[in-house]
Amino acid sequence: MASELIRLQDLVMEFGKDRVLNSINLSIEDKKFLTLLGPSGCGKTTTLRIIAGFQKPTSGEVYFDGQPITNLPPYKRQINTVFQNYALFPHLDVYDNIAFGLRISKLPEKEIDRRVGEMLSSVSLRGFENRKVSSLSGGQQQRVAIARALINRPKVLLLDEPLGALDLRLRKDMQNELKQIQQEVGITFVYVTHDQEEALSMSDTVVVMDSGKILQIGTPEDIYNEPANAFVADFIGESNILDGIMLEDYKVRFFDRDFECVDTGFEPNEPVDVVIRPEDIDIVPADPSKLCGTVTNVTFKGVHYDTIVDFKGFKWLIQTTEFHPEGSYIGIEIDPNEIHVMKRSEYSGMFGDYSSYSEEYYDITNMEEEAEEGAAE
Amino acid sequence: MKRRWLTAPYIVWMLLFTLIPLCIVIYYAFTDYTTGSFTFANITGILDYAAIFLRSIWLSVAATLICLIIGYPVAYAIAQCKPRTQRFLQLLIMLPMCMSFLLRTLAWVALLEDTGIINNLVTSLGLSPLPLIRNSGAVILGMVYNYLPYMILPLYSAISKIDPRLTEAAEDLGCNKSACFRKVILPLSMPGITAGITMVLYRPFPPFIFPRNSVRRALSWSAIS
Ligand SMILES: Nc1ncnc2c1ncn2[C@@H]1O[C@H](COP(=O)(O)OP(=O)(O)OP(=O)(O)O)[C@@H](O)[C@H]1O
Ligand SMILES: [Mg+2]
Repeated sequence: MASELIRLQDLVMEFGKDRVLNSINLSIEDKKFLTLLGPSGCGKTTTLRIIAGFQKPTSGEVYFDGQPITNLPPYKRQINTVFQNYALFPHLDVYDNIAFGLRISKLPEKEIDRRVGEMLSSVSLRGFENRKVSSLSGGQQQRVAIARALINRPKVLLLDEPLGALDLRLRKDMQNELKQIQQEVGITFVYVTHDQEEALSMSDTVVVMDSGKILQIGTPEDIYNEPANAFVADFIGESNILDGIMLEDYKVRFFDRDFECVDTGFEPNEPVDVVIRPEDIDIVPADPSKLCGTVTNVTFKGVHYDTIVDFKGFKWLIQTTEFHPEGSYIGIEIDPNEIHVMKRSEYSGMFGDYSSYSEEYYDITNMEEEAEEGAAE
Repeated sequence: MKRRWLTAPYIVWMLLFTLIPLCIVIYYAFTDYTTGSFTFANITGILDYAAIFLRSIWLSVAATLICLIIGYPVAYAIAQCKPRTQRFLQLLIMLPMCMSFLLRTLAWVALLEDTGIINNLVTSLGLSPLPLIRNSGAVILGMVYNYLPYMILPLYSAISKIDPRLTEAAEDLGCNKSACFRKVILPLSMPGITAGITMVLYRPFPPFIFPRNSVRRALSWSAIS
């Protein structure tokens, strides 16, 4: 069990009348990779800025190693930041950007030279020492930003969507590189992203946020397999979210059928949300004893087919490796382990079915992200 | 596609009103005023005016430095305000530029002259009048007053372009406020400083050293016409 390094206690942040953070409580463990995940505007950057010291919370405390640091200015904190748009110094070259922090702490020039050299090789930027930062590509600038922060050997590195501006390919490479750097230097990373795949693949702990609140804290597996509510289920990966009734322990009813499940601890006949992941559904030949529906749309996705099936007007997304043509009448089977029952929340009923399914849902989400980033600049 | 011909009016303008007059100046510089024969007398004669030249240069440099020292904090302070306040303050800085140079200068004369407002106040307290006018101090004061906006505006435009995240990045990397200013804000406002100095240093200032009478005459003349 790792020790706690940073604790956020009852953080509230208000801008005028806007309450942007609503009672954030979070414990960040030493040497771990923690990710803040949530849709745009949910308060991720604000949380990070409070940890870095750029912003004072309206109320609440930040503890570092057990000491309150809420009123400590940024330059006195052992924390460094990789900014959302890098914020490299345009009047300095790559070398001077990276050396900036060491020069401020007045290290001997020889020591600086040695450490900058090391840092340049570890982010594969040797030979770029004297380049102007404006002449670098996005990926290179991003590495300079990481090097500039890491060279100070902070206890914590805050990263605000550091890969947001990179293309998919480079993003994947940098994800691996970042994870590797984190494990090698053994420092705490607090990473902000709104890309759920990135969050799941890199983190030790994922914190899902929405409108200034923390909805769930857990390992990537916990978050994916046991979402706390309909919002988390919908935000993390694809999911079919249905209205159900928990008849008794281990028995849930939806679509007027009783299904066996593994969940307990609900009131008898309590209305619940049921989440079924598209890859957990098996398509079988139609049979009156099964839930049956008609295939309305099939899209080839490489590894699998996205199959949209209409059950009494409610459309599900099912991912299978076998092809079932449009119009075919099929039945489904779901393993009791794969039916996730959740308490009703304010998010219940907000996520409809897949009737507005688009073949290019990945592209569309990416385009939305880019548009937002463009607007933010 | 390049539309070179669009530059034609500008080129004609420059030819007529810059290049040709320059040639005329050069011609007269090397010819005798009465006989029209070639001579170096005009050039060697410069030495007679050396003291005046040096004084002009010294006054300009002093006024420019004072403008910079006053202007920088003002520009910096404006850049920190809310956008609306910034626009208002910018307008306020520009306002005196809309007024006639002559009028502004005369206003100072009325304040500073031996029987002017300030000295009236001083003498009414039973003291002897202060030598406020017709000295280098008064010239510098007048120049600083008149040219300060030309220093503040380029400085403001350079400072307001500095991304606030850069100062945050500097603080993040260990800079306190003063280091942050020296390492980031000052180097990044250099273009504004250069522009401001250029605009103030090379600004001609003949009207100010007019003898007061000629200013009066010019004024009454412009009032008649
Ligand atoms: N200085 C500020 N003044 C007023 N409102 C602000 C300020 N900074 C942030 N906000 C508001 O706080 C909310 C949360 O902003 P924040 O930048 O933390 O979002 P985010 O989760 O980082 O989003 P994104 O993914 O788009 O970066 C937004 O609604 C934003 O408009
Ligand atoms: Mg953000």
